[in-house]
Amino acid sequence: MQPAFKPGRRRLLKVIGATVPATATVLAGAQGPASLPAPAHEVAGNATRDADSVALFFNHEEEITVDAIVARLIPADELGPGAKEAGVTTFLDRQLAGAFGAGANFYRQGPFPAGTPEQGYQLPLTPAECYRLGLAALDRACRAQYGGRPFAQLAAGTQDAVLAGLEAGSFALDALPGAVFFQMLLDGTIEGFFADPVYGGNRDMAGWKLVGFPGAMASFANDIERHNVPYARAPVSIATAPPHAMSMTVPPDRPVTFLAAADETICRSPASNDAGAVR
Amino acid sequence: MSKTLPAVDAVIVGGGWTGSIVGKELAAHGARAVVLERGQPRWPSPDFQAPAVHDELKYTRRHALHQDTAVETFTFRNRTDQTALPMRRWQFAYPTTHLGGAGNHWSGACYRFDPTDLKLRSHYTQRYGAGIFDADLAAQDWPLNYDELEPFYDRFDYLIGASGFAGNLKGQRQPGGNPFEPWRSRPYPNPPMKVPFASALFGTAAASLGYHPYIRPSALSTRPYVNSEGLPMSACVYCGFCSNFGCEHFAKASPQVCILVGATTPACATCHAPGAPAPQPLPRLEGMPAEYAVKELLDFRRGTRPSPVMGAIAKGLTDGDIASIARYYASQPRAPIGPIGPLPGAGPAATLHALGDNADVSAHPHPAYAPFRRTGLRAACAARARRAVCVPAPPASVPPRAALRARCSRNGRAGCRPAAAGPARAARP
Repeated sequence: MQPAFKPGRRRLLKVIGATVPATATVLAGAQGPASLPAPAHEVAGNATRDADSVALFFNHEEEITVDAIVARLIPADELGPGAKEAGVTTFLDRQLAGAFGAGANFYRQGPFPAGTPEQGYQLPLTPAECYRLGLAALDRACRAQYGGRPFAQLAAGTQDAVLAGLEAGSFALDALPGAVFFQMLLDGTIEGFFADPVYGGNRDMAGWKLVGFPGAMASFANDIERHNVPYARAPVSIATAPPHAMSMTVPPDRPVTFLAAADETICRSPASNDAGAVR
Repeated sequence: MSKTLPAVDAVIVGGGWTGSIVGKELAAHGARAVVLERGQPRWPSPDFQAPAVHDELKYTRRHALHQDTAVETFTFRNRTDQTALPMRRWQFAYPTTHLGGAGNHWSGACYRFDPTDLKLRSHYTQRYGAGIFDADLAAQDWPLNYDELEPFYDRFDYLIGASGFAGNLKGQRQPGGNPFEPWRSRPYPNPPMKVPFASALFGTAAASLGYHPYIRPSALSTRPYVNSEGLPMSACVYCGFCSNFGCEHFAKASPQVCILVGATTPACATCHAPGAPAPQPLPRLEGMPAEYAVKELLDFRRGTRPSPVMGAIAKGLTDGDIASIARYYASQPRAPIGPIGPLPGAGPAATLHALGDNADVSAHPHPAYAPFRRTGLRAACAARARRAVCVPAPPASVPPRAALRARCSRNGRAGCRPAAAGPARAARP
């Protein structure tokens, strides 16, 4: 039996099995608490999305609810932004609108008996269906239990109690097993907080800065044997990483295609018999 | 609609390590073999290039290189009194899809079986008594032992450019290596991986407690290496994206890097054999910059360089095929090409084509070569000037070949560049 869920970063890092290198604190310290946005969970109930955000999957009520959920799973605190500020709702919105939400790479043939916890997810629902049903059921259950108020309008402590009840299976969500839905929310929040920012979450690489992950770096050949030295470089995302740090010369009359990039890649690889390789 | 293909000697199902090795061995012994692969062709370039490949969501969480569970998965249970259920998404054990198989996404941990692994039943029976095995447990010994397998392990190590420090060379313990390692006939072909901080701390602590920490043998090449098939591997740069990811650096051993190019380029070598005595009837490619072969093959494929033979061949090549072929030829030693006389019955254009773009035609008496007698390499550039790739004519004071060698150096950038201005522009029609 798993212990009941208690939100917080320490718990989160245990869940994902991350070991925090000494450099994480260096990075976080360098970032400075002054630059952090104020913890936002107290305004979660009447949160408004960015003016330019366009939801692909969530309706307006769902967006508000998801914002409130992820803000409790990874709250903003003195170490930096939380999941909501890092755009995890946007991440989930895009994932659920796409192949993942539709059940890509997901074996969907029956029968669907209840399995053991070790046997993992065994519902016939796609992730998109699960979120749609689960979010509506969550708000319905909250309204019934807390005087007509949906999840997002509950106090933070009450929200935590609801989430803990979901995880423990004691907070019922109609037909949907609460623990299964909770696990899906937690997995999605962790993915959105730590996946590359190209997917819409981990905004400003907030998740990576928190744990000191350098991101999509191409090489650590020069750093690997520098022991006990803080790694102070900012992380890079797929969209911002230079394609190795090599210049690329393309004749002006030749279109720049990915094949040109392939040329570049090939030609950069050292020919091994020039470098004293053994045969 | 069914289509009948020419009969072959062997059909291999699955293009991973095993299929690739078996296919190559069959081909090397004169058999025609076809490998069927259910996934997509995947090559280090362009499919695994950074930074796009450094994507944990795609490769670790969404299993981009693993078997698609929507199509096929397997069931499991932890105890016999449970009902086995399908793993609807991978939770552990990652069977694979795509060319290269698990060779794409493995971490490269590269242990040999221990001698006791190969005689499981007799070893444990001898040590713990026959009661150690339940009656319905079907464990048994292999029909061969470690000593018989060692030459093949050794061959595989030199195929994949294994990195490590031998702990047991021909029965002699080597301080610093794995004290429990089975004997090896040769050292690892490459030195062990560099040790990061956390591993160094752990190793120091373990040693202080009387244990024998060692650096794990790895299928990641630690230096530029030419493997037993004559194929090049590059040195690992410690990017950290091994397990679940394809390697963009040609450092992690995979069928594509270590064997498939060698198994497929014989098709090219029918006409462009590396190391064949000069002059060959067709252009020599070995030692030419990879960029050269890429450009030519792309031109053939696009049709911008018309050729009935090469056009048809190139249309069947993927980007990954082209990249692999080019990299292979670039890695081969460049054959010395001395001054070439006229080929019997061949005119200037045919001679130039036959000798290849790196031909030295200084001794060729045909008047068409008069402009190129001192600049063998330049002949190639000039011959292709109409295709807008050329180098400016060097100043008269610079020895032409030296100037061109500098420009066409394999270690430099493009062998031939468009001139910014000047004589070469004027030379174009």
